[in-house]
Amino acid sequence: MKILYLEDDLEIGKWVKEYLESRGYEVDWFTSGLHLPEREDGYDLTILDVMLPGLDGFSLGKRLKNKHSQMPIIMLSARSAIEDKLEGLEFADDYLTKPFHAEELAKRVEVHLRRYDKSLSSKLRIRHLEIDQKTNSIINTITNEEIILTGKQFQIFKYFLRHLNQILTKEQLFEKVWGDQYIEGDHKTLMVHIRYLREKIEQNPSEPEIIETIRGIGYRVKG
Amino acid sequence: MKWHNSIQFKFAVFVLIAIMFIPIVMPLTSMVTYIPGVFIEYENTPYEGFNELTEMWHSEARNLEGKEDSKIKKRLQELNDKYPKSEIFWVDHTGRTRDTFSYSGTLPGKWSVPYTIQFMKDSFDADPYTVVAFLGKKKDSGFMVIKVDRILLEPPVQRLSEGYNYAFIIVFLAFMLLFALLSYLFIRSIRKRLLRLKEAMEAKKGSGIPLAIKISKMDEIGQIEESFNSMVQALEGSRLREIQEEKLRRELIANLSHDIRTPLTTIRGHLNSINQEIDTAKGKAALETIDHKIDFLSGLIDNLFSYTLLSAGKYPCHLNRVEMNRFIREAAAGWYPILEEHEIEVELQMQQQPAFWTVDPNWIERIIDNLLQNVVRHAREGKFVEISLTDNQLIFKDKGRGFSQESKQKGAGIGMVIIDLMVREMGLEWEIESTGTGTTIYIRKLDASGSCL
Repeated sequence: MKILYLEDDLEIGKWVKEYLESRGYEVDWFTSGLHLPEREDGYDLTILDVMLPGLDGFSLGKRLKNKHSQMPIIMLSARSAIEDKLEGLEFADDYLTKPFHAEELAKRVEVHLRRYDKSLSSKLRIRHLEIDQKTNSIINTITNEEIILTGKQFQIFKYFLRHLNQILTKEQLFEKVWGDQYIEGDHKTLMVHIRYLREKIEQNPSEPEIIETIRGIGYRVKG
Repeated sequence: MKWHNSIQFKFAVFVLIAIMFIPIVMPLTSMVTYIPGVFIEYENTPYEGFNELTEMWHSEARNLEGKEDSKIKKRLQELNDKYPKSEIFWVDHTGRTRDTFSYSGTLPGKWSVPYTIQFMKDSFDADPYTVVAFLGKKKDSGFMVIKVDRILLEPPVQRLSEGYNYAFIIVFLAFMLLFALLSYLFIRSIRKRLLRLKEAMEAKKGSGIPLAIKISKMDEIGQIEESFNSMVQALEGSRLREIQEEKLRRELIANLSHDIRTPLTTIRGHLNSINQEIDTAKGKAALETIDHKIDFLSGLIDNLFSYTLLSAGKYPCHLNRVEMNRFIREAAAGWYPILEEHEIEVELQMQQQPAFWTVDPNWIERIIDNLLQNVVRHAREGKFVEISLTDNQLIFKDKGRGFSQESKQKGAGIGMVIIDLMVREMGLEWEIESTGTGTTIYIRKLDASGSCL
């Protein structure tokens, strides 16, 4: 996995580069966006500081996203104003404000790579399930049987996998999977689907371990 | 502006006309009424006057001296044709009435002396005007008579006056109407232009500044329009300057924030390295405290800058209709991992029905962030936070040691000040209830809510 990293502060750059390399990523670090153009192909993910000398991070990020729509971009910024975040998230996949924890950055890198089906291995393990993201197969490693999901169940599960560790509200889930505006009665539909999904993937559907219920808020699948 | 263009001048002209109305308009009306009549009527009538008719009649009579009866008859016929509405007859030397032309009265066949005297008496200075002429110089060769209505012989002006009395009144009224109409048009045009100016002042573009107006005429109103335009221009300029200033201020704050956050990030990086070197529990705990303080500082910077912008009015509020159930649920989802990490139980009490509040979503998010931040920092030991939404209030409840304890730790202060500013600016109201066993914060929607202050 090759990561393109732009950061003008030498100390932070060195720290992040070393940290990500210790996690098994290959990191190319540049201190400005001026010398990039011919070399930006072949990266799996870009980490971009907003305040760069010369070309600013927002313009550079937009340009990169236009050229390589399949490359996730994480903005790293000392600007915490909501306007800046919103501007960044218009094209970037994520926005992290300084001072950040290196662990959090690494976690987000992992999540975004997985979202674009680019993770280190195409196989993902969640408790007793082994999920092959290339072939979309789900294997129960205890019984060694493949679990077959219906269309909606699969869509829901896939959406969880793309947002691992993130709490998804019932509105978000319903609107993404059904593509409809959420209205109050839709909660029942969603609950029914999640119950059937749990019956297929959980060891004990009455005490779910994979799809957690966060009371009053939504659901979460931890990676 | 030329003096004759000014409204003052025009108004003065109108007043002058009003004062002089009768003395000027009366002769004017007479002129307009009679002069054309005089010129036209002269050409159409054979009658020129009393003297002219008398002279004509006597000269005709002289010419007919000694002529045969038939010639006299023929000539008189011609004259009768030439002078319409005239009555003509002649009497021969024997006193016999001969030919009459258009004569309406009765005449004796033979004129006696008393009758002749009576006729002359009746005809003198009477209407119709009568001329009697002897045929020739000798008084015994008979006479001829012409009678004409006096009106036909009066001078033309006199002659017209009867029929033209109506015309005079009509023309006089016409002048009055014309004057009234002109005054009306004058006032109306001023009124229209004033209204146009008023509308231009009220009409606003998106920026709240009226558009410049096209200058109609160079008079007093034109000058107002000109001043109005330069005022609009000045406003526009100051608005642009304000935007520029706001941008500069934001830029400055973003840069300052960047300058503080960058070293904080570096500290965290080094902290990470130290963490791998240190094994003692005490050392680790110290490092963790430093790590927390980094987050604390970074939050403080945010609040400090937000406060600066807010109190300078440079953090404008943009109201939207927000469905609060969903909004709070999403905010809570974002905070859940942090609360979970600190083992704080989260309880959400939302409503079944959609609850729409008119608020600035960014501000509400900021308020929720600050409140939950406070729970994490100062009410952690309660291990509980409840967020509930009722018809018109949003309630945050924790089981910490209460506010009086919390306020000893500086830092909560500025966060609360920001909440206070934002809540009030959005037209909401808030209240804190704090005891030693917990704090409850109510944010209330008022009837008047729904507009930025």
